[in-house]
This record gives sequence, structure tokens and C-alpha cells, in this order.
Amino acid sequence: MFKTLLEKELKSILLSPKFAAVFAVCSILIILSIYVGIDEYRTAVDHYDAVNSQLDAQKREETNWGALRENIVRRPDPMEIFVAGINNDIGRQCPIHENIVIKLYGSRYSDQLLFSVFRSMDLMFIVQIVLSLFAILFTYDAVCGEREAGTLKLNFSNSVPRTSYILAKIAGSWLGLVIPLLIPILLGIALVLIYRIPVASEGWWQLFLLIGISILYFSFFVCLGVFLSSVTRTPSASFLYLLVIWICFVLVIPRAGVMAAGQFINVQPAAEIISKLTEKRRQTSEKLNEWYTVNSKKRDAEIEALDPEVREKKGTEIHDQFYKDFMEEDTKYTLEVDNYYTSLIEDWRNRKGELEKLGFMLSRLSPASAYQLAAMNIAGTGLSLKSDYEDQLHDYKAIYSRFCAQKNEESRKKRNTAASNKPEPIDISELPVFEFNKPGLTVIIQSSALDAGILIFFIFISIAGAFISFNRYDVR
Amino acid sequence: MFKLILYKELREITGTAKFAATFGICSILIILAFFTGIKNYQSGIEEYKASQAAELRKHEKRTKWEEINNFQVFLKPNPLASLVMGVSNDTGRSANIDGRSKPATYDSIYSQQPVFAVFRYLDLEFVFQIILSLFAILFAFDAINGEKERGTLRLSFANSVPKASYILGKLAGSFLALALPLLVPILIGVLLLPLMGLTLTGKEWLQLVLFIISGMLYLGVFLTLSVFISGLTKRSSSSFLFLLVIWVCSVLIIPKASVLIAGNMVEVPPTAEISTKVVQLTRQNNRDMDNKLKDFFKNLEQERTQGQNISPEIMEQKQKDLDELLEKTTEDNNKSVESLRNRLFEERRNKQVKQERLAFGLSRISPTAVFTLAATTICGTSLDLRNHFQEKASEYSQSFSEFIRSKTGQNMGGRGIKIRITPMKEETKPPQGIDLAEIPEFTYQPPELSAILYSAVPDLGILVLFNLVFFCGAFIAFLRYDLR
Repeated sequence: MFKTLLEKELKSILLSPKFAAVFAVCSILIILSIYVGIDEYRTAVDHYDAVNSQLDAQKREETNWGALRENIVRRPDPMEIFVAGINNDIGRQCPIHENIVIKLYGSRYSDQLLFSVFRSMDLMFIVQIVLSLFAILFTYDAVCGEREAGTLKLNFSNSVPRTSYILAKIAGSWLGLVIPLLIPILLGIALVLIYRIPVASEGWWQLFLLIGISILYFSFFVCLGVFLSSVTRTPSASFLYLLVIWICFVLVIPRAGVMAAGQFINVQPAAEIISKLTEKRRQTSEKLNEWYTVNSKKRDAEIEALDPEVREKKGTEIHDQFYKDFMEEDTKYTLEVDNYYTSLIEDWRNRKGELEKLGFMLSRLSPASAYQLAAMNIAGTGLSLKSDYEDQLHDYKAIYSRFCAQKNEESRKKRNTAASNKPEPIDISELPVFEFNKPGLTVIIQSSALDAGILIFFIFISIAGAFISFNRYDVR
Repeated sequence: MFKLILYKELREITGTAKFAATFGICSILIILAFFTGIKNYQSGIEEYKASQAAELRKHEKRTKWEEINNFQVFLKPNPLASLVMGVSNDTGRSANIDGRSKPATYDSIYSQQPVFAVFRYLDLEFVFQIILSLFAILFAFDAINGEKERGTLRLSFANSVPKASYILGKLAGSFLALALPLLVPILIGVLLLPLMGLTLTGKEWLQLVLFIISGMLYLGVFLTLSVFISGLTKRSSSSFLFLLVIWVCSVLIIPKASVLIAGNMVEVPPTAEISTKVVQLTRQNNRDMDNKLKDFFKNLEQERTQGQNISPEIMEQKQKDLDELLEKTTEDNNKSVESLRNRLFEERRNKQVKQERLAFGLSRISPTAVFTLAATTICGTSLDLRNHFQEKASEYSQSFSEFIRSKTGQNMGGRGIKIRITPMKEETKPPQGIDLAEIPEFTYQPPELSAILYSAVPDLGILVLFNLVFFCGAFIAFLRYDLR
């Protein structure tokens, strides 16, 4: 019986103008979004390579490790093709220098403001907004529409189990929506392969998970549509309720949740942090200068007091000792500034973390938010992208600073012993390389498990609601 | 007759569940948009003041004006930007004044606090653009064919009802029924402004009124379009499907697609590319300066080794020559770097303007894009916000430079490198503190109302045109409609 009902449901959906419209719109949108994503990714990679090669050329000309200016450019990730997330909102470059706070700057939207006017259109956006709307359109009259047309009464004049009937309704509508989604997605993936986008094996898993979570998301709207249609008597009422729910879930709750959190938790502006840090740096720099002035005078006096015969030999030793002491002092102050920075940023991050936690917790009342957060986590374009990058850049800065200090010391010794003072270009291949470690698949699954769970919970509630209400439904 | 039909239509709509739902949602959303907008503005102002104070704190320990080689200015939040955000959260809110280069803006709200970029804000523009347009469709998708389906159309025209009055009554009734759920919460929201301590200037009130008018025009477009489509189709389900596809295209696809098309057709180089070119030239200049200095010291050394007697007076002269050489070379280098930077940025700006024109030209096929452009222009949150802020920061940069020059007698950032070949004269005066209150204040002045109107009128005109076209379409379609 279930099979017959499912076939009937599928046939009626596939032959309707609704299906043709949905299939056409979805195909155009999904393929267009993936194509545009590929194009943007390739442009971003070109820019990344161009800027990096220019930076390398500059570094190669350098003859002094101390004067080297390292600038890390954020590498584009193929998953941005499917879910842009906050990728366009956060900076793409970060200078690495002892006196500069680690901060990504120069976001795509601030650089190319035009693109921020209407924002981007990616696969996640299409599923979240367009497909959810279409899911409602497919199901709002699933039960009440049949009642209004009189076919429900007719169906139940035979011995049709209600459970099979409602299950076939849900499954039929679900399949009717899966086709318009999967075919263009598969075509989009073919485009990714044709354009030879370097998607790693982990990336394919991420994509697979993304499709999975997208199917979960619109399954919820299919179930909700059937549920509401079995609660109401007329399709117009059912559609009205569904539209109101859709607006709340997709457009209102996600925004309102984060905005409400913003009202409760105040995060101090970054300018304040930077100002405090600058002040601290100024203070330590003053102390270091003072140390230098006092001790260099002492050193000069000590050398001056030496016997001229041993002055050259002993003087070099005193110089070396002075330099060593200076470096120790410098390291001590750098550490002091670093600790101060860590304490400042930790406090700031905690506040921001609280804001995010509360905002996302409130917004998770909506399955659309849960889906968006899960999709962004899976694609690696969620909020953690910025903090992960900045944390790893901070660690890199420490390695880089140590390396440069060591190289400076080596250069100084070399200069003292070398016969010629002619500067030689530095070998930049020796520079420590920054490689961003993306979160692994296990971390991704763990971080999106909560949102997937929320979606499953919503689906379960809707199916249960549909079953209960349809069992009580007056089919006349 | 028109009045009678209008009353009937109004009564019919206001008595429905649709109306109750629309009224409820509109009220909640609009009041929420006003409330959070006001709160955001207030916290924005606090943040602005804190940033300003932090910037001043950075310089308060300085003892000489020469030490100030850069100064940060901030974009003051605009009360209307909290109601219609446009690109105000995407554009940089601070600019670095160094007295040489044209200030670039950075640190946008979304880049600083990406948590808000995830779902973005709920503002009045969003409510109009997405939600109210959807409601407009919901109100009028079955205006004609729905009556036909129910059989009431034939019944109405069994009497001597002029078709023109009927369709006019339908349109006016639907419009009024939609305007009511909108105007009541807007009025409450407007009342919230002074109640929550936000006072708008006369110009800002006018801008707000203009924004509401543009919103009404936008709703009119979807309403007339819905009646038009309803007059073209036989079944309400078909008209709804068509309208939904049009809505998806207009609201979600055309605006985004047009920007993407323009982005592909006109390529704008990223600023990072320009910066690296500028850095390359700077390094080349530094190398040239090194060579000049080497030559200078080589000559000096030669004079010394040739056994010339270099008296303190000659050394003083040499010091002057060296100072001049350094100053001139630094000035020339700065000029060449600035000229390259300005040329590259100008080229970029020209390409950007071309790209923007193309994108907006294409996007204006969609009434939603037209409304967005009109609304953001009216409220001062369009793309011009960044350009205007940059212009004002640039003007300020000049006046700030002048100020530093008047205090120090030299250009901002100093004369560059100083090399002493003669003993340094001891400073006779102890370092004096500087009074930061003397620094000229930077306050961002938004464009004049006339300029705003001048930019917004074309888009408002297009909205009127859309209304007229769809109204005529609805009128003609209904005159030809088979009432049976």
C-alpha cells in the first residue's frame, strides 16, 4: 500500500507545474552559484599567488634579517565555493612584526564593497532560503488540499492505513524535492572536477557532509509542511501559517538571537585593546632604551679603561657580552608585552566567546540557524576561521621572531669576522613557513553534531506532529 | 462606486487571518528593528567615544608634536544607519592619518565582530525588502482570479460595475490594507526614538520620511504586479507560483547575479596588489638613497684621507649639505611614491566606478535592487558612505598636516632620516608636554540633503515607473479578463 501511495504522490508531484518551476529555478541557482564560486575561488587563488610572489621578490632583495617584513596572506579554500560563511568578512592578510598586533585585515568586502551590497549567493544560501520556501510550496496542501479537492474522502473510502498514507505523503514530497536538489549539485560537482579545483579527500568528505546536512534541513520543512497541512482545514490557512513560521525561522530568529545577545553582552572595542597594548609597548621600549643608554655608557667606559694592548681582544668580548645582555633584556620585555597581550586578548576573547555562545544558543531556536552554523562549520568558514587563523599566526610570530633574532645574531657575528662588509641577500628559503592547519574531519563532525542533532530533533517533532494530527484528522 | 468597492475590499481584507498575521508580524518586526537600531546606535556612539579616547591616550605621553606621525580618525555612527544599515557595517570605520598618503578606511564592524556577519542585522530595509514584499504578494495574488474561482467576480459584474472602478478599488483597497499594518508600528517606532533618547535632526526626519515613501513605492510595485499577474492567470495557485518565482528572482537572484556579472566583466585589482607595488618603489628609493649617502661619505672620507684640514665650520657646512641631501631625497622619494600610489588608486577607483555602474545598471531590472539603492542612498549607507568618509578623512589629513607643520615647522612624520656628522647640540629646553586638545577635531559630516535627493531621485523614479507599468498592466489585463 505504501508503495502505491508513494508512487501516486510522486507522480502527482512530478507532473505538476510546481515541480517544473522548482526544478528549473533550483538547477539554475545551484549551478550558477557553484560556477560563480569556482570563478571567485580561481580569482582569489590568482591574487594570492600574485601577492605572494611580489612579497617573495621583495624579501629576496633584502640583505638584513632585521629589516625583513613578513606578511602572511590567507590561502583561499575550495570549500568557500559552497559556503562563503564569514570568509568575505574577515581580513585576508596579516603582517608579522614584533610591534604589530596579530590581526587579519583587508577583508574582501571592505576591499570590494560593491560585493557586500547584495552579498554572495552560495549553495548554503540557496538551500537555506530558496529550497526551504519550495519545501513549503510542495507540502502546504498535502493533506488539507486533498480534503478540499475531495480526494481525501475518496481515498479513505478504501482501506488505506492512515500511517502509510501520511508516510507516503512525507516520502513523496521529500523525494520530489531531493531530485531538484541532487541533480544540479551533481552537475556542480562535475564543474568542480572540470575546472580542476584542488579538493582534497577531506574536502570531498566535507562536501558529502554538507549535502547530508542540507538534506536534513529541507527534510524538516517538508515534514513541517505536511504537519501544518494536517492541522489546518484549508490550504490558504496552512500556507499562511507556514509562511509566518518560515519568516520567523529563516529570517527573524537567527538575526534576533545574535542581536539580543549583543544587547546583553558588551565587548569592548578592539581600538581600546590596541591602545592599551601600544601604551605597554611604549613603556617597555622606554625601559629598554634606558637600559641601553646606561649600560652602553658603562661598556664604553669599561673598554676605555682597558690597556690599549688588550683593548681590541677584550673589547670584542665586552661587546659580545653587552649584546648578549641586551638580547636577554629585549627578550624579557618582549615576553612581558606578550603576556600582557595574552591577558588582554584572553579577556576580550572570553567576552566575545560569551556573546557568540549566547547569540548562537538563542538563534538555534530556529532550524535555519542550526543548519547555517553546521554548514559553516563543515565548510570551515564559520566563526572559528578567524580565531584559528589568528591563534596560529600568533604562534608563528613567536617562531618567526626567534628565527629572525637568531639570524640577526649570526649575521652580526659574520659581519664582525668577515673581511668584506658587502651585504649579501638573505636566503628566504630558510624562513619558517606558515601553514594553516585546518580542523580535521573529527573536529568538524564534533562541532556540527549539536546542530545536526537539533535538526533531527525538529524533524522528529514535525513527523510526530504530522502522524498525531493526521490520525485525528477529519477526512470529510 | 469606487468608494463602495474600496470599502468592500478593505473590509474583506481586514477581516481575514492574513491581515491579522501580517499586522502581528509587521508590528513585531518593525518595532524590534527600531528598538535594536536605537540600542545599536547608542552602543555605537559609546564605542566611537571609547575609540577616540583610546587614540588620544596613545599620544598623551608624547612630549613633542614631531612624535605624532600618525593619527587615527573614526566614522561617527549615523542614527539612520541603525535603521537602514546598507554597507555601514561592511565599510571601514577608521582611517589612518599620516599626512602623506590618502587615508584608507579599515576595521569594519563585521570584520571586527564577525558574529554579527553570520546572520546580519534585522533592519527596516530588510523588513520592507523581504518580508513586506512577500506579504504584498500574499495580499494580492488572488485579487482577480481568486474572486473568479469563488464565483464572486461574476456575481459582482451582474450589476453595472465599471471594470475600471473595480480594479482601481481592488488596488487601492489592497494597498491601504497593507499600508495600515505598516504605518502603525512605524509610528510606534518613531515614537520610540525620542523616548529612548535619540533625537534626530530636521534633515534626518526628512530622510526617514523619504525612506518610508520609497518603501511604500516598493510595496506598490509588488502589489500592482500581483494584481497584474492575477489578471493574467485563471487560477490563484498559478498566479502564486509565478509570483513566488518572480519574487525569488527579484529579491534573491537578480541583485546578486548582476554584481557577480559586473565583477566578472570589470576586474578591479585588490588593494594588496597596489600596496606591494608601492612597497617595491619605496625599497627602490631607499636603495637609491643608500647609494647617494655612500657617495657623500665616500667624498668626505676622500677629503679626510687627502689630508685636507676639515675645520668645524666646514664640518658644519657638510652637515648642512647632508641635511639638505637627506631632506631633498626624502621629499623626492615621498613624491614619487605618492604619485605612484595616487595613480594606481585612481586607476582602481575608475575601474571600481565602472564596475559599480554596470552592476547597479543590471540590478535595476529588479525592483528590490532599486529599492535597496534608493533606501541606502536616502539614509546615507550606500557605497558613497565609504567614498565620502575617505574624502572627509583626506581633507582632514591636509588640515592635520598643516596643524603639525604649524607646530613643528616640518612636515608630518618628520624629515625622515637624520644623520649627525657633527657633535649633537645639547637640548637647552627640557621637553614640554603637548596639549592634545589643540588637535583639530574630526567630525564626519554626511552629504547635504540636496545631494542625497539628487542621487536618490533616479531610483525613486524607477520605482514610480514600475508602479505605473504594472498598474497599467493590471488595468489592461482586467479589462480583457474573461469574468465567467
